[in-house]
Amino acid sequence: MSNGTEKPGLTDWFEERLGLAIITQFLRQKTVPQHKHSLWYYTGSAILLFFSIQIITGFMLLFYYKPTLEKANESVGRIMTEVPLGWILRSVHFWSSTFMIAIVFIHLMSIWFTKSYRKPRELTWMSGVFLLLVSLAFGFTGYLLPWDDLSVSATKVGTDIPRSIPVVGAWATKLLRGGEDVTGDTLTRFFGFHVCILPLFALFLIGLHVYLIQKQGMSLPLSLEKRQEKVKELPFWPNFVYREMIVWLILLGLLITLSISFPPSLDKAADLMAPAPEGIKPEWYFLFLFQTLKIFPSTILFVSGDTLAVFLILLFAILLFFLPLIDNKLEKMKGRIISYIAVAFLVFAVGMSVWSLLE
Amino acid sequence: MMNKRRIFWALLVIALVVVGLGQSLAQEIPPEQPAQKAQVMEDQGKIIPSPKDIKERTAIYVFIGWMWLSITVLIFILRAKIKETDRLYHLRFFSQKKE
Amino acid sequence: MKLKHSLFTRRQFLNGLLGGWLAALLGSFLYPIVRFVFPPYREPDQVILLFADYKDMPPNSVRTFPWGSKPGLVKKNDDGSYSAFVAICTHLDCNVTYLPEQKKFFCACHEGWYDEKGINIGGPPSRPLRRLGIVVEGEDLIIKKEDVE
Repeated sequence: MSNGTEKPGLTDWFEERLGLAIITQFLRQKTVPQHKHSLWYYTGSAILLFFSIQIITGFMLLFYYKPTLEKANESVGRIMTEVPLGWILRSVHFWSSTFMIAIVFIHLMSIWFTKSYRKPRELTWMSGVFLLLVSLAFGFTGYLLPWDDLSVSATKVGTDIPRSIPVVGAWATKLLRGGEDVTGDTLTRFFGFHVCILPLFALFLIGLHVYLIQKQGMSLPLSLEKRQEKVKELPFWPNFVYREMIVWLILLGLLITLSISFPPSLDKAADLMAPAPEGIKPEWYFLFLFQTLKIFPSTILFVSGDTLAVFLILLFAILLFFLPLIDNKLEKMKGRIISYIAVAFLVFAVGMSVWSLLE
Repeated sequence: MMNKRRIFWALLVIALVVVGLGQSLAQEIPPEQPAQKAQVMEDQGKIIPSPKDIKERTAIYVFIGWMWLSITVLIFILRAKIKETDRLYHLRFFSQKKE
Repeated sequence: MKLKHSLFTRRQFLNGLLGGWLAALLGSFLYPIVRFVFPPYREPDQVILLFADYKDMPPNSVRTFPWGSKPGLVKKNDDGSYSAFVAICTHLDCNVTYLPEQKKFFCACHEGWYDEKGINIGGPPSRPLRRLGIVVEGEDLIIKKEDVE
């Protein structure tokens, strides 16, 4: 921003050394298409907003949380009672995880329906599927950390599921649990995943995902691409960012209001020797998987029902990952069937979740 | 002239930030005792967080009110900014030079 | 005073209002975070000990007790009275010890010296040791926040 007549300012000092103006120039030139499906473009930055909130509130909780079997529950209790406004911070962390995973699902479905994963955006989709798995892993590992009866039992059930896979199943369960059973070692391991390993994966994947989006530009829904007419474009900076800020403000307001009105409680510390409590349920984003496992009978044709269910789920996940390569005839019957499958999956997931809640 | 403008802006921003901080200081009233918002139910050992007394509850309502008021005002300003930048874009104001 | 020209344009006004109010809102979010990160240190108003544990102390000796999260020292003086100190060196917060042969408190970190009343007499400490009130009430030895004397 220097013209010859002005004294060189701070911006120029940094610009000479870092050369970051290339980024601001890019952001000014980047455009976002405007059409009736543009609403879905807001989901990406909403996820980033909640992820950032998770990092900040996570750092804060990290100051006081003690990740050992003896102290975990007590330290969360201390955060909620002794540390000033700790209960609000924990509540925000809890609610923000729900918001983030909900918007991740919405984002995934919107990409699926608009078939935005088609060439050249296959890698963007694949990194996105990994990000979905990382987000769910964040939720799963975080759920154990308060170490109360419900979370320990839910973790026992959750880490038992891989066991039904032949050959590698038992090994996978041991890897997750840090042994045969859920113990203090499991807690330490989950804590390591939650605050170090998963964040590093997430940051790498987000970097890749966002880079690919910038490189390839915003995608158009298939119907509009075929039409050949010019779609209205809006500059990313500042026009689209101002619109995004409105969305962020509303989401932030909802987050804080819900966090203050419905903070999570804390049960007493888990007793590993006690029988399982009634009504074990995982977090809402796992309910549909949980219910699916429940409805399979214990044996089907010499194979255990669990094994079959897990296989089907894994198969679905693998197909989801390779979706851009599978959906190569977008307008033909195959492409349309895939869209119907998307609807079917949505109905299935919502239906199973509701059924699980009502049970 | 430029300096007066800069001084004005600096003062306004500082004033708004101070007011914002001051309001939140008044709202988030520090608790006297260590066991602030927890109601520990002895029989179940469950900790349910909630405001300790009417003062804290009022503070929370005030904070939420201030927050939503600010969000409304900010959205109002952002809509004006959006209208403005859209208008400028359509006038091709930005096309030749970089700002 | 009438101005010939506006101080700023409508755009600048709007920009400033946006930035300023956003800063105020984010500032109000920052407040709970700052309070969370700096929890208040609460010192106990008093600590109640069992006098029986301290009754049989020989004169010119000390025994430790917890003063909140800090170490405290109960000292039995030569005349049989008790004094209580916060056993933290006033230089750079190391824990001090009592050397009965020399009748001095000593801080090993930078060789700070205090006499038997806790007055700083040598080395870097610039202030005396903090004295606490100490009172015997029946079976209890009560250490109080307010300094006696």
